[in-house]
Amino acid sequence: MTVLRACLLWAALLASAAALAQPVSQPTTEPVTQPASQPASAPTTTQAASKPTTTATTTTTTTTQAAKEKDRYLAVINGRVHTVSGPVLERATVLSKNGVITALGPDVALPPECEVVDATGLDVYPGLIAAVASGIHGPTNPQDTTNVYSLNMLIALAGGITTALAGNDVAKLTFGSTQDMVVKSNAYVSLTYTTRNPLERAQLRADLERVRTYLRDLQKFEREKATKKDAKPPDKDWLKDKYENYRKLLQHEATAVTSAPETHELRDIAELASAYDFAVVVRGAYEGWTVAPLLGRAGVRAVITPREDRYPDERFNRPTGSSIENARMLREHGVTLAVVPQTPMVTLWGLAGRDLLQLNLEAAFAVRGGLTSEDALRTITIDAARVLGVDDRVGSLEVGKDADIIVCDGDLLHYMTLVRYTIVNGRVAYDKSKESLYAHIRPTGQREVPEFDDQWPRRLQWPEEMQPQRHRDTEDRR
Amino acid sequence: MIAATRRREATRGSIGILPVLLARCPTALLALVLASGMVFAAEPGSPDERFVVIQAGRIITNAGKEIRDGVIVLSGGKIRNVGTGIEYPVNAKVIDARDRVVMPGLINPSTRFGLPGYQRTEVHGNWSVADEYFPLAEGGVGVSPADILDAGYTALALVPAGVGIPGRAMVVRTAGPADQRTLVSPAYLRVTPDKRVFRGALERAQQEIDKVEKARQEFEKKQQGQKPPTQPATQPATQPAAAGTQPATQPATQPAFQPPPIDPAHQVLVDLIQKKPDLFALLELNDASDYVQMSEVLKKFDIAHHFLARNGWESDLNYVVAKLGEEKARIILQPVISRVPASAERIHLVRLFAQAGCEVSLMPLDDSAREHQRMLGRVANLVREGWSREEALKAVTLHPARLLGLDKRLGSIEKDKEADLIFLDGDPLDPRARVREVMILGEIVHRVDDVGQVESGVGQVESARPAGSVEVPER
Repeated sequence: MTVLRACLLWAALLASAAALAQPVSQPTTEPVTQPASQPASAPTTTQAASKPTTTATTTTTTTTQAAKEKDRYLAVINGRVHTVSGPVLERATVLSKNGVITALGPDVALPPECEVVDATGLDVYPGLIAAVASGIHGPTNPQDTTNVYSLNMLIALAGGITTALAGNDVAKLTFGSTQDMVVKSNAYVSLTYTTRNPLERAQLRADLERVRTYLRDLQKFEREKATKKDAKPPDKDWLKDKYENYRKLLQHEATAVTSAPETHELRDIAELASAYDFAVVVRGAYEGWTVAPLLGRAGVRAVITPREDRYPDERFNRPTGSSIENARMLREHGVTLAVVPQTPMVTLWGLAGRDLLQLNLEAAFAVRGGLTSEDALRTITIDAARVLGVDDRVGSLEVGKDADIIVCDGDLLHYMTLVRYTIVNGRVAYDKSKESLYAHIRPTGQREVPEFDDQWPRRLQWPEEMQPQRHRDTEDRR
Repeated sequence: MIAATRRREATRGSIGILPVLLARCPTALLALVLASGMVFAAEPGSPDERFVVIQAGRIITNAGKEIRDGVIVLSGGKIRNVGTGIEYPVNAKVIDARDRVVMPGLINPSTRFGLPGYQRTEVHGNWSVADEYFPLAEGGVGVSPADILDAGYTALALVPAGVGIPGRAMVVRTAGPADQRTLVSPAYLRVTPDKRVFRGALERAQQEIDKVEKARQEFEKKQQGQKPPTQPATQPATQPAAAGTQPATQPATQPAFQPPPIDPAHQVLVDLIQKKPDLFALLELNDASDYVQMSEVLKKFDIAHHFLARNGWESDLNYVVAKLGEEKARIILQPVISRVPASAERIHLVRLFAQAGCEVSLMPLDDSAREHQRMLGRVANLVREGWSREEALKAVTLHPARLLGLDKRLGSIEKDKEADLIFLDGDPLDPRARVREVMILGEIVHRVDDVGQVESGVGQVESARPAGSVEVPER
């Protein structure tokens, strides 16, 4: 009995070792196509430590599945593929195997038994990323607490969202399954650093100083270990809970997040981040345009809402209030931007057009303020992924990245565009024609504005001679 | 005269040997044919109490076709035979139910009827409803047993209150002698949809198993070390044998293995992992997502389980119908036509689950007596909207019995099953029909007379029409 059990154990160990051995070789072959995803713009050193582990675990799960089941292929064919990180490819195919993109381009041979999504005449984008979200996943440990058939998740998928922040985790909208849901656990270390609470402010600085002194002492000890015999490592019994979080921050193993809408808060947190050299994401930042160069130099990343509208405060003799040009100005100074709507959740109670259903339109509002369309698209895809620290897996269409793809019936930033298919981890999670949400709207895909045969209020039938005359100048200008 | 003595002999033996006796005795056969119909002439005086005969207008057996003008022969609280044209002892007690439809008593596979609620959380595998259930001499469970008998229920599975893993259920009869009241105790383990608690409990149980296994290995190693090295030749040969055979070969003086104690709250989960027979977990589902979440745990731990889904008025369970059907799952549902969430689309989940391959049992919408009384009406509505009638009637009788592991005893009218029956004055799904008599273990325990007067009590209600007093009319 026991011998048999030991044998089984060994067999299991060997199998898992074999499964582990495979994915290690996989990343080494891939980086040829990777570099596009790693431009030098953002100081993403924080991801360096976590990156290999995340990729290793994901590939392990997929390969063990493959050992059990057959390989799962899905191809989106003949679409206009917006890779985001690279060029737009006309009539191209995106092929994925077991949830990972394996080929991309105009001439891709499809394997037999491949699920095909025909995107002829349609636009293909990477899945959108909500850098702030609530109500889609469960509150903690999303893989255990999420209602995977919830209406909110379905509606968010209909809005093109495939990845969202869930509590402090980054999770995918894997409708009907919890498999490969969590992309990253503990995305942020949350900081409060406001002038409203000076004691807390001072405490944070003191704590950071203490951890920095410890790290310097540790470095010194490492240096002197070999030469000095009586060198002692610094005491580290206190280094837990919040101190452990601060250590991770200072050693670039984690990213800080804080709410900083106004100028003075932005300036303070940027100075703190520069002084202690840690990565920080600011939320709000509607006055970011007033201190854009400072934020850019400090390497701050920002989550903004272009449509946010705040009056300037006339008591100050400096620029205050929101600006439609906020996104453009921040972007020009090298701030990595993510765009979220005013109500970062799925609402069914009246805030039409301001919730996660219209994430793409929120980005389009940034274009009104001068941001280029390409950059606006980045704010809800690859740059949002970078703000969440998951740009190694999602946010653009590249070989080796996750197959999170949306197929739209037009330009994503156009107000008439609807999502036809949402694909998460290489599985079709939303099909417009099959869900009752939007199936009745333009079912054949025509893009003209529909003509209503009857309107309310009814148009008055004016006699010909009494028709209101257009001004001549206006006519000419047209 | 000879025939008369033979008859007396025959009544002493079982029904099974009656035809044999008849075949061997042509005079007896002649006497039988001469007697009116297929029934022996009623002999005045002492009726033989060991046999009760029900002459039923219609019998819904749940095993094959419905029987018209049939006979059910009972003795010792069990069904001895059922069919048409069956001979039975002349002095048996006859219950004339020719204006009645007889069917097995209804079984509720999950309820808390009449028991108080508790705010319990986490894992309590050692708790059971038996700890809080005290059947009274009269009545028994709940505030008003007459109400639940009036609804036609003869058995209830009482579940422990709380969330997480609150304990084990208990299956009881709704009436009958006190010593026969309990059908199964402790019964299944109730598990509410909390993935964290469920997975944590099973992981803990696995740790307990590993702990015992480790202690056993250490014990065996120690035993080997103590062995005198004089018998090395036989030692390797016996070594690969199973651990169970080892103590037999060892001398009697050696101490037996004492396993370390297992946490009592997790003992039942250990039993589930080790696949103890007749034990299963009843996993409750509130929505489709709960099934996905709970089946993740079941992938890791292969334990015996059935499901209870609260489909209710609004449900998204349609997402997992195919998956549960593939599993051939046994599932308890509520008898309602649900609505797809945030829409006006009606969906007959009960039928969909049955068509997908699940074995569907039904439970009332809540624990009130009123809802138990509405049960057959709700089932009628399910049939009206396209479900099979036969399947629907099984879903309140045979399927719950099978789920509870009682299908050898209850759930249908067949030979050797216990006589927990109900008598209705019309078709069970007819809203005009009412349960008129309830029989438990061959005794009528509840009766509603023609003017609606209810008589209820254990063994106090005599059979509807005692055979001695009423002549069996000819047809």
